[in-house]
Order: sequence, then structure tokens, then C-alpha cells
Amino acid sequence: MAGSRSPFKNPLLKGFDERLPVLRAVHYSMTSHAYPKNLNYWWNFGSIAGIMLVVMILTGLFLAMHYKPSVQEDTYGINQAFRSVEHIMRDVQGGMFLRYMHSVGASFFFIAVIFHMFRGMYYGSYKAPREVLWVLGCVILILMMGIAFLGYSLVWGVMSFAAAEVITQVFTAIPILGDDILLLLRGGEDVDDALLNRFFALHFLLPFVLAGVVILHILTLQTVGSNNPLGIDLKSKKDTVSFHPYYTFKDIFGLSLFFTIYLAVVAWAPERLAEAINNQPTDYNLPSHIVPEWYLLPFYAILKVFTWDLNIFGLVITGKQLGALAMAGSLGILFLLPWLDTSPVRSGRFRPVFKVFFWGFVLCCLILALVGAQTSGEAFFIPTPFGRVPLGFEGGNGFVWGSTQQWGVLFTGYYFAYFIVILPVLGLFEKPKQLPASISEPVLA
Amino acid sequence: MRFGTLLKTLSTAAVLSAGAAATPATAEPAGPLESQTWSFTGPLGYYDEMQLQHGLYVYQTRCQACHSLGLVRFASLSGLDVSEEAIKALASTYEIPYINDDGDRDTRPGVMNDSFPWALDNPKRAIATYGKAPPDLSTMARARIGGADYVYNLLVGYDDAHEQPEGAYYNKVMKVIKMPNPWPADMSDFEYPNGTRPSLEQQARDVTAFLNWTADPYLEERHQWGIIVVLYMLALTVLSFLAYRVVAAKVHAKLEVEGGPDPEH
Repeated sequence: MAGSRSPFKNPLLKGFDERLPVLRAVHYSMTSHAYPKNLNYWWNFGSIAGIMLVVMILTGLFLAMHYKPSVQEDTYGINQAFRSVEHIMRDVQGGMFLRYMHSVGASFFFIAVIFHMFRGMYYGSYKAPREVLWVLGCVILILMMGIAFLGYSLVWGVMSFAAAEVITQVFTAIPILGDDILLLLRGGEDVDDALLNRFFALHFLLPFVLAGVVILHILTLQTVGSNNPLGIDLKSKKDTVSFHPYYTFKDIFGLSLFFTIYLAVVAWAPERLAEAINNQPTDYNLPSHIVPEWYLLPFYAILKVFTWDLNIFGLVITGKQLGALAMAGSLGILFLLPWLDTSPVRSGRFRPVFKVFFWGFVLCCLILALVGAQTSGEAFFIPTPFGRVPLGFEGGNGFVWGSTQQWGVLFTGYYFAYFIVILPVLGLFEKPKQLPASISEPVLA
Repeated sequence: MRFGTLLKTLSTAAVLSAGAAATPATAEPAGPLESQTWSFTGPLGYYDEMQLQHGLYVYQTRCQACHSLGLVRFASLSGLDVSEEAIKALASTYEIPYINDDGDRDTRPGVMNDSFPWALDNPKRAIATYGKAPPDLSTMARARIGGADYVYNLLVGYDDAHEQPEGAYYNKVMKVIKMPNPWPADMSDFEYPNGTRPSLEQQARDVTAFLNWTADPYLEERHQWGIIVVLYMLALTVLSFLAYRVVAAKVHAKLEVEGGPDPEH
């Protein structure tokens, strides 16, 4: 658009734009860039996620003005970091709202991104020419998980310490370099002041790196264009709308609804999505039941279900290494998705068999989240509002049939099979339904 | 450690470095909690100031010999509808440790900006005496699954009839607990400053409400804020939906005639 003429009439805007053509870039991308006219409400979550990032950065900025990354304990046994968080909640003007908007906001940021990703997986938004777009999205997810973990540690409560202790230990699974990486992450042997300070520094820095990747994600989108529920390319002017005003208004509506729910949770259930025990300052003992925040549960499940050693012709991979490898793999394999799915048809709407396996994958992620939250050796259950539905029972000799770990292994298997077996094979054998000739065709016919 | 060798290896170092082999903290109650009706639950939940004052009195009588409220400043008691003079008087009854101008350890009367202090000398003495340092109670009602219900059930859950190892007690919520039963066998003489004689359950309820307040003092403000914000957001949602429908109709009408942007562009 740089070669185009300034679209503005106001002399001030026009003058500025002629010297720095940023405004026209935004203007043209909103008015003359072709978007499919048939995007449904699942397409709202991208802009919602973008706005949540802004909310997180702004609330986080003001929290950082009052936060103290120090593990020093006062006579009450309360460390300075924990105290400063409580100080924000108790003494800082509007601090309680800032803090809860930030901690609940992390959950809602993940909710938006999870819907956004599942939408992309169902409608095949990762397929050519959108591979780079998808890969950048995966980078965003991993950055988010890292940032969320760092931020969770900053509270320096019981679970903050446990998270910092356990997750940094995971890196020792790396052969040869593991111990050095651990030392680098912690800034010393122990989970202590040095760790907290570097976690704070990184928690402040990485969101801006994330914002940079988000900008690349959007630039890529502008280049390759949006996918749509039919998964077919734009054929003519009959198929398209400009972003403004159609999608700006649709996004404002979606955003309003999303924020209504988000702010209601902030007001009435700000602790509902968090671990209660993290409201207690750490005493440097690990709690008997360690769980991460809900959005990390499926990956945590994959980390913890492997407890046995693997011996491949004398090369021993320990259970810990296997778990770490599986967790890294479960994230890494997302990057390869565009090349693992062999079907030329993008949208799940026209893939009857894929649909079944896709919803199986969604279910798989939910089950893995439950596995992550429950105790490995005990009978697995599904929590419902009417009580627990047991999926396992105690056999003789203390053996548990259907333990959390067994279900975890089963669904970890499905998780990987979905990418490595189901998607590659399905594309070769599945008979897709007839695709419409264009987006506007169903309307015309 | 309950999930196998992984964490067993991971945790050993940390537990050792922590030095104390205290009972591992757990947020989960051992049995089902008897759920109670509290004035502060629900979207319009609020604190009953009289109940909080009674709760404060119970805290002073039964809890503060061991447990501090390190995040609760005396000044914040104005939230309990206590007058400034009364707060100053109350604060001055506490002895706050400090180092005087000669460099010696000393105590001085508390002022508005101090917090409810620790009555025991130091955590190590407490561990030597009780086997565990009594935790600060400021955030306790937020730090357990079940919240206020957990605190209440724990307080009324003591049963001295059960056999227990030396230095431990039986409680329905935490089967082996280091915290002694806070209730004396005979409380017939105990009365609130206003002359009423509360039952054990009533005292437990009042102090639980007080501890919920210390954990979440601005709950009422949040609830009021929530109602305004959510009503505003709902109105915005409805209006933005209507606006979207109007815009959508116009865009589709225009689309029929001239189409949208050129996809090749």
C-alpha cells in the first residue's frame, strides 16, 4: 500500500500520512483488503486474544510498579514478593481489580487462544498457504505458556514455589547440558532470590516479544488472507467484504460478550480458576499434590504419565527424560501439523471421518487436563456437578484398574496418534464431500 | 509424593534444603465439608459488621496467642465499623518488637500502621514447641479449597475422644493436626463485649467470617463494582449486536450490487 495515495481529507492527517504512511496502511488494510464474507463466530477469538494481550500488558505494567521480587521473609514468615502482591490487593488504589484482571485475564487469554486454535484445526486454517501463519501461532502458544508459568511463580506462594522447583527440574532431563541449564534458569543451586528476580525480568520482557510475534502473525494473515468455514479460496468480488465496517462491528459484539463473562468472573469468582493454596506464602515445602494452572494441565499430564525407564539396546531413557521428551514433543508436533495433514480439503465440514477424530481430539485434551489434575496412582474419575463418575476401581493387591496414569497413557497415545497416524492416513483414504464452487455459490443456488 | 519416581527425585533436594520435615501443606479437606450459609457469598454478598467485630473478639481470645495477621493493619479495622479512637486504643494494647535507639531489642505499643503481631518469639521456637510454626491467618480463608466452609468445619471438627500420637490432635477436616483444640471445655462464662453468650458454633462462625474478611477485605466493593460493570457490559453487548445487524444488512445490500474488495488485490 506504500505506493498508494493518502486516503485522508483532513489536512493534518493527510500531511502526517504523506510523511509517514502508517495511517494509510491501517486504512487500506481495513477498507480494501479482501476478507471472506462468510466468517462465523468462531473467527471472533483471534481479535479477542489480541485485545486480551493488550489488557494483560497494561494491567501487568501497573502491577509491576508495586511488585517486589524478593524472597526475604518478615517476622510473620511472609516473603516480600507475596506481601507486595497482597499490598497491591489491599493498599493500592484499584489494585485488587488490576491484580484480579491480570490473574483471571491469563485464564481468559488462554480460553480465547484455545478456541482460536481449535477453530484453526477444525477448518484446516493451517494448510497451504497458511503454514507460516500457523507456525507463528504455535510460537505464540509456547511463549504464552512460558510467560504464564513465570508470572505464576512471581506470587511466591506454596504452588509458585512448587511450579518453579518442578518445571526448572524438567530441564535436567536434557543429557549433558541439563545441569548447566538448570543453573542458568535458577541463577544458583536453589529456587531462591536469584530465580525470582530473573523470572520477574523475563515475565516483563517476554510479553513484548510475544507482541512482536503477534504482529508478524497479523502481517502473515494480511498477506495470505483469512481462511473461512468452507475452506475454499476467494474466487470473486462476490465472495468478499472489507474488514471495516462488517468485521469491526462483529468483533465489537463478540468482544463485549466475552468481556461480560470475563469481568463477571473477576467480580464474583476471581479465585475459582486458581489453586487456593497459592494464597499462602511458600514455606519451601512441596505440597502433597502439585498441579499447574488449568491451561497447562494437558501438557503436564503428558509430562507426568511416564514413570518407567526405556531401554533401547542399552541406551537407557529414564522415565523423567521420557516425560520431558513427550511434553516437548506434544508441543513440537503442533508445528508440523500443516505437513502431517495430507488431505487437500481444508474445512472439516466436508470431511465426515475427520470430524469424528477431531472431536475425539478435543475430548482427548479435556481428559488429559483431568489426568493432569488428578493423582497418578488413584482411580480416575470425571467430576460432574452431580458428583464423581468413577472410571477406575481398586482391584486386588492394591492394583488400580483404570488409574489416572493408565488413562493418561491411553490418551497421550491418542494425542500423538492424531498427528502422526490419523491425519496423514485419513487424507489418503477419506472421501470428502463435494466442495462448493465458491463462497457465494450456495447463496446464488 | 504421590506421582511416582519423577517427583520423588525432584522434591528430595527441595525438602532437604528447606530443613524442616513439617507436615506437607495440603489445600484439600480430608472429608466432605458441611456447607454453611454466609452473608458474603452470592452476587450481592456482604459482610455483617457486627459479626466481624465478634469474630475479631474471638480471634483475640482464641487465636492470637499463636497466629498473627501480618497483612492486616489495625487501621483497616475501620472496615469493621470500629471508630478511630477504639482502633488506636486496641493497637496500643499490642507489643510490637523493634530495635531502639541504643540498638537493643525492645517492644513498643502498636500504632495504626502496625499489623496484628506474632505472639510467639520466633518460628523456630514454635517448631520446637508445637512441631510446626502456626501459619499467619491473613489469607487463610482464601488458601484452602472450600474457603470459609473449610475454616468453619476445621474449627468445629475437633474430637478429643480419638487416640492420637503425642503432640497431635484429631480433626474431621485434617485427620492429624498439630493445632490444639482452641475451645476450652467450659465456656459458660464467655461472653461478647455486648453481653451475649455465644455457642461454640456461633463463635466459630463469627471468627470464620472475620478471617474471610481479613483474606478478602474488599469483597463488597468488588461485588458492587461487578454489578455496575456487568450491567454496562450487557447493555454494550446488546447494543453492539443491534449495531452489527444494521451494519451487516447494509454491507450485504451493497455486496449484491457491487461486491466487496477484489480478492486478487
